[in-house]
Amino acid sequence: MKALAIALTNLKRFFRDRTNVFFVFILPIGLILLIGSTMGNAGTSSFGVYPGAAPGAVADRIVAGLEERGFSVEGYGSAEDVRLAVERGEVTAGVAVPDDLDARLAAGDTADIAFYATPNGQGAQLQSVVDTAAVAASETVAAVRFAVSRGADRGTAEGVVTAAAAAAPTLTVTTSTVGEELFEGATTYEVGSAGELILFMFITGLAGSAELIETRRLGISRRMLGTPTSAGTVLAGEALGRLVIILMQAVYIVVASALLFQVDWGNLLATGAVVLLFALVAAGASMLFGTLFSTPQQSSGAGIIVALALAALGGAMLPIELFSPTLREIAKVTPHFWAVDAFSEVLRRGGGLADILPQLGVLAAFAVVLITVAAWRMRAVIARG
Amino acid sequence: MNAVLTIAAKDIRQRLRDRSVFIIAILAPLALAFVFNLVFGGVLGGNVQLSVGVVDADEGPVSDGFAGLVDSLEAAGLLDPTSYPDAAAARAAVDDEDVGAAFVLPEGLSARVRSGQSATMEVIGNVDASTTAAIASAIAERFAASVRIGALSAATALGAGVLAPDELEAAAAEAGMAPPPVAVTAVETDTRQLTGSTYYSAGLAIFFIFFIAGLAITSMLGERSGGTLPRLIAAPIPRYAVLAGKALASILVSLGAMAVLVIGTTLLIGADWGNPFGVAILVVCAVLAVTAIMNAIGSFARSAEQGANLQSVVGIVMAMLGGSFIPISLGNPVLAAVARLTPNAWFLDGLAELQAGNVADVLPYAGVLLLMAVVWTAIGLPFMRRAVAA
Repeated sequence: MKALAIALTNLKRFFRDRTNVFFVFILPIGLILLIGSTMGNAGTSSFGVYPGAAPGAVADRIVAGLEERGFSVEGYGSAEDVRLAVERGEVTAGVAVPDDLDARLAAGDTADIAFYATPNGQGAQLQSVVDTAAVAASETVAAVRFAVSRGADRGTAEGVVTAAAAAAPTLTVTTSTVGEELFEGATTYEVGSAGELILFMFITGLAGSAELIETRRLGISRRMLGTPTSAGTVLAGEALGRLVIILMQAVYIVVASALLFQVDWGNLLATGAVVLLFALVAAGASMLFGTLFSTPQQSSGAGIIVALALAALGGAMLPIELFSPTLREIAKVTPHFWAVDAFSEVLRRGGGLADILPQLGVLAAFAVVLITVAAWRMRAVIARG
Repeated sequence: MNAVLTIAAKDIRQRLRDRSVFIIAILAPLALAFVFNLVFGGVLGGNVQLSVGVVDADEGPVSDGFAGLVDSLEAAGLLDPTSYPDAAAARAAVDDEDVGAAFVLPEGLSARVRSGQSATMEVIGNVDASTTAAIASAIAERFAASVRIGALSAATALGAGVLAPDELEAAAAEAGMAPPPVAVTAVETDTRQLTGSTYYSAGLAIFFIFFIAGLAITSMLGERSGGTLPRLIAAPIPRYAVLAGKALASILVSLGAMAVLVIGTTLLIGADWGNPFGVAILVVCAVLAVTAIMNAIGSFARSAEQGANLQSVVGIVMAMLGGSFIPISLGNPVLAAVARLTPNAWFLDGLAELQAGNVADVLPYAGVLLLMAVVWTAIGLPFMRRAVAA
């Protein structure tokens, strides 16, 4: 009962500080929104194009050819603008068509299209795409050139080329894809939300370690021990307070992301189990941190480092599927990995409680170890102040 | 002037004695830049060479022509081809991500093309590498276009009466190999982008500077609650000297931290900040802007704690919107416009411009950062005066 009172006091103190409201409730949703809206654009390649001052038929076909091949095309007003856009990474690669392209080709001359890509990016590969678009767009021009080179009259050759083009054989390229889509059935918000949830539960936990230190520094814990209250009860109360705050934030993120971004959290029992066990891990880490440092500034500074580093390593920021094999093994030492893994089973593959038992087991082990060590350490420092 | 320096020196000593400055301004960005670069580095830097599988079931002149194209792309360092016996093996290789994509030239391809029939070749891509698949199809289509152009050219010459029917095949082969009328020439470009390790180093460095740049105002609020402020005011020094001394201290501590970070990330994680002179200009201007912002924000508060809380909220929001954690300006015009309000974006973009090697390129960015410093100082000054009043 006394433990509950201590937990309640913790909660009251937490919410009296209005910046906590920002960190616990506003920041996570803001980040999910931000990441969700930027991640949608990553991964597709784009061309910056200057189509020439007054683009003719061939120039138009080249630009259209880029779009037909699935690239987004961004128009620019000059070749120099295209080059700057490429150098700044606004587009993957750039194309500048000379102003007199069609006129030159009509007169039987050849023409050069400028291609821009940065030396160390994927853009260099895209020259093949431009090359193909340019060759395909000028096939009749090439045929007429060949006939003229063999001594044909230009006018005659231009007269027969249209009929010849209709009859010429076509080598068709079909493209098929294999493999399982990485995030099949998951929106960018769903991939992001699970990671954010885990990231923020742990940050809130470690940030709370500063309040544990404050409790000691202000002498509150000593005074509590001065009353007929056992050290165990004080510890339980402090741990319970942290756990409730973390769980409250978790429930809030789950509900808010479901309402605002239509994130489907899957089997609620399974999701609930992951959240509860990870909250215990975070609460344990929070208590442990509270015993390792002596000033709130130190513990919150170190807390941010540890929380962000573990989240990055554990796959809560970048999907674990994009990690290198070595890094994937390293990730397994973080509790975050197991929570992320459990969530991808539940959210993406529709898994239930039975499918994530191994992950839950590892999380439970993390929680038990952290809470035991923290309790042992706290018993030693709680009276010290 | 003497009083300003004395107060600044005292503030700096006070800060350095509290080890949290080292944790927040140096250890945190270094450690996180290391981890972020480790985790995200592989994603930002793309592999230029494309590995492809080739299945040649045709073994005729057409597939020889395709092999020639693949060889020339390999020689240019763009392709890394591997041969597979059949389509199933190639498909498995793509599925296992042994190769990015595969080309399949079916049996009888040359015979069909020779007899003027339409034919098909196949490109196999992986669903999760759409750009690789698109590049591979472009290479195949380029080849298909040259086959078609050969046939079309020969037919046109025949129609124009300058080619005998028995010359068709040879003419088609010759015309298919002829250089196209529209050539694509790569123009050399500079890079105005940061590598992964530099991006995370710079982004995190400026982010954590937010947490120490606002010390001027929070330490003032601290002096007040600690009871030392009335004593400072009672001393025979002008009030602006107290403010100036504290501002100077926080600027110097921030600059020191940035210097350590620039050198530390260069040595430890291979960050490449660019021309040191340009970096110095941007760092100084960014520190001034961040100092002005954080002290103005802190001056809205009534206690040191409240001020620090308000500052950390602003610092995190600006870091998120300004691209300190993730490069957000890519693709979304609204976010790109909002990012322009943060010093983080101008600092990072200025550093990116510097990668082209021209120090003068950073001046517009440094100018905007200085303008931010002036505007925020103008906003904050009335409130700071209030804070220094007894």
